[in-house]
Amino acid sequence: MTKILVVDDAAFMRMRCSKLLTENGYEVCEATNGAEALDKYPVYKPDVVLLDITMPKMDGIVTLQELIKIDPAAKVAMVTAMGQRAMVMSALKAGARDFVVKPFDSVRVLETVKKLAG
Amino acid sequence: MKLNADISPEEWKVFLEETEEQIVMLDNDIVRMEKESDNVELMQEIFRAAHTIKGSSGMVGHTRMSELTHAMETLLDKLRNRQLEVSSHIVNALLFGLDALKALKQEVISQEESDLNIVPIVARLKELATAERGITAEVVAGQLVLSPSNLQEIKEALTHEYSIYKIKTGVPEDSAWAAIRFMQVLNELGRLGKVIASVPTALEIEQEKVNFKLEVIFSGLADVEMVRTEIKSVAEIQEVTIEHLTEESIFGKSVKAAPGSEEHKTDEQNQARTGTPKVHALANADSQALQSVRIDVKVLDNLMNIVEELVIDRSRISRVGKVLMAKYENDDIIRELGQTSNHIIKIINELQENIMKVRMVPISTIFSRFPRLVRDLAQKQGKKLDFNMYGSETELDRSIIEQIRDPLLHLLRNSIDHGVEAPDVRLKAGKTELASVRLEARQEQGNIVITLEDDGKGIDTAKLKEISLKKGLITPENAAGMSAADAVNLIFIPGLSTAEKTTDVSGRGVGMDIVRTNIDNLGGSIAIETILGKGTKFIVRLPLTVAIVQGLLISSAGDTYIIPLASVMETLTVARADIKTINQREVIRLRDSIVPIIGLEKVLGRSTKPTRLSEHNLVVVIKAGERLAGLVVDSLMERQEIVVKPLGNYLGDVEGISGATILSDGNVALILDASSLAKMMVRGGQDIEHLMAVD
Repeated sequence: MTKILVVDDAAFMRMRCSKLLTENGYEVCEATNGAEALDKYPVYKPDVVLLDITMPKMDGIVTLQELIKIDPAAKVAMVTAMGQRAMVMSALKAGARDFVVKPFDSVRVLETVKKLAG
Repeated sequence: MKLNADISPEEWKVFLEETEEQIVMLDNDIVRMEKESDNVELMQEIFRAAHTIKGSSGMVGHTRMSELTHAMETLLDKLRNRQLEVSSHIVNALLFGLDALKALKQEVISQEESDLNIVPIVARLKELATAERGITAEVVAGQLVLSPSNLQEIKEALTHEYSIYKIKTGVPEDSAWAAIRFMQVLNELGRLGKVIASVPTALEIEQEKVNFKLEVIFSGLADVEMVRTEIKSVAEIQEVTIEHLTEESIFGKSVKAAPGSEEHKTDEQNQARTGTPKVHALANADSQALQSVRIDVKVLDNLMNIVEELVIDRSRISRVGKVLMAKYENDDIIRELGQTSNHIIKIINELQENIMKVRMVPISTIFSRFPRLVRDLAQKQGKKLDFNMYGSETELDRSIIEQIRDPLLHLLRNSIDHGVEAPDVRLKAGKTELASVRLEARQEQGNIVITLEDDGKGIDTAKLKEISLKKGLITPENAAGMSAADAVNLIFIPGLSTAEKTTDVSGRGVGMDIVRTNIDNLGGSIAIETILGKGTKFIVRLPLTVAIVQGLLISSAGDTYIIPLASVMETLTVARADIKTINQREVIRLRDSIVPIIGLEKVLGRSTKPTRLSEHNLVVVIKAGERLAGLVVDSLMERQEIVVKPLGNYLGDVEGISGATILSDGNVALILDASSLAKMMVRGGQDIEHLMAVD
């Protein structure tokens, strides 16, 4: 089963994401912040990471940079919001593969995940 | 109201809880922002809160909420990136937006759309966000020109038998993400081969200097279709044309070399990807934050109930144990039972302590709302305030937290309304324009002490006396013998207000007497220290919890009652000769005060006969606010830790009784409520009130 790591500090977003992915046959693991994501990544070995950009302490970009250090082939899609173009840009530069804009529609999330997992 | 129907009740709950949390945070932080615009952490926190609400509200389909938070977020983003300076206009607009946000959140709860129009609020936020913006994305419509180093690269690629492609693509002209899409295309191509040059360049794309077209020279082993598929995998990308370039077409005519043109930045890009960015060692702090869980308040209350049951059993076990030990002192089994029950008692004590701890909530949950309120009030009245709070982390039982909010709010309002002077008045008095108001909470020997201190005009005790006299609240004799320290307490007498005129801020009919009653009901106390012209300090003392209290067991006409120890001032034996009658009411003199006394049975209405007095009477003097009253009882029993249980719906509110408890012998006893008892005693003897009003 394709494994997805969902990283977001907002409980509601995690819940939505996990629900959507689980319903579509993915296995989901959640992390509530960057440090937790970095801890879980090597253990859980997800196929795709959905990583929220705006998080307290260690934000999505820093987390991404660290993830890429752990696994240069990590397939990370950033979860972002309208108006965060500059952040997305840095994320893409840092090695993010794709991104999803909040509030996201289910189709787009699934498309992104499918593309990265495939 | 049209919301996302796909959201489960559980999800709604999380949404509402989280949104409320963020709103409270914003309420506090936006006000702080005005003072602390340099505080990077704060600015980030504010931004994140708005951002989180935006994301969630979008998901639940609350369009207006997400539109509003989007506008707030855009403005906040500019502020945190220092593209804009924090100004009072901006803070006002944000607070205005926050109020609208609260109303919109309410819509979710009530499931009804309000008539709130967010269009002007959003427009204002947008206006502020764009007002001083200096940077506009420059649209560069360049032509692909290859530098000598590009050409060198191409030559090398060709010697490795790589294909060279010229790729043209674009995004729709209404796309907000053109630069991002192009960056994605370059990234995809970078994974497939090498981007030799592009228009716009990688640097330009990064700076968002793009229009809606992208041209790339690319080298790699992939065939045309692979390249096309990769590019097409990027969202929003429209048609892709790929031209396979031959050596001749490049070095012959189709691509011209232009010395001195900008080199592209692919190398830099790669460096950024593999470089070693700085990371702060936050892992520990983060995992610490994870070691907390959210618990439904109901579960907590249930746990508390269970522990209360145990506390009652503890008293019973302890009592039975004592009896058994006295009776069979030398029996090994009894001794063992005694040891075990002592251990159980110890464990129950620890359990009780821990559950109490779990129920503790930091006072910041109410403090956090104050800065906003203070700012609004001060602005409304043209007063300049430096408001500071300390000890927000101090913890109190959540039931106390809930009940102390209004009294504190009232004190704070009073302080700003009546305590602090207008800037010009302050200057005349030789003070600084900026008034200081300081709110502090701290723990002090099993109590929580909250102080509110201002450097305003202080309370005029002479004036208080004068008004009290005029209103007939005290007698001239009272007034004459009253020290300033006593006179200041006149402020707590119902019906007294020193404000010459009431404003819409305070003086809405909720007086200081209500403040005191509320605090009394919590088993707390309030004191005032004031110096005329210098300022006032209110000191509120509260118990850590109300669910389990120390009580004095008394008996009257064969029934056992409990008086919370906090309400008992003293107990005394009074000889019949010392009891006087004023206006057909029995009173005693207690030091400087006249204290009415009455049989407990009579005041509770269980007996209509006058209180029968004996030669020596046991009197429990209770204190309710400034009122003292003596209850004549049959006997005083022991002091016990008791669990306060409400009477329940079946009995409803019974005057004079605040609840019931189960005693260690298994019997139920009623808990007396000092403040309502004192009121009941006063009724029917109006003149007594005057005597009792001041002690």
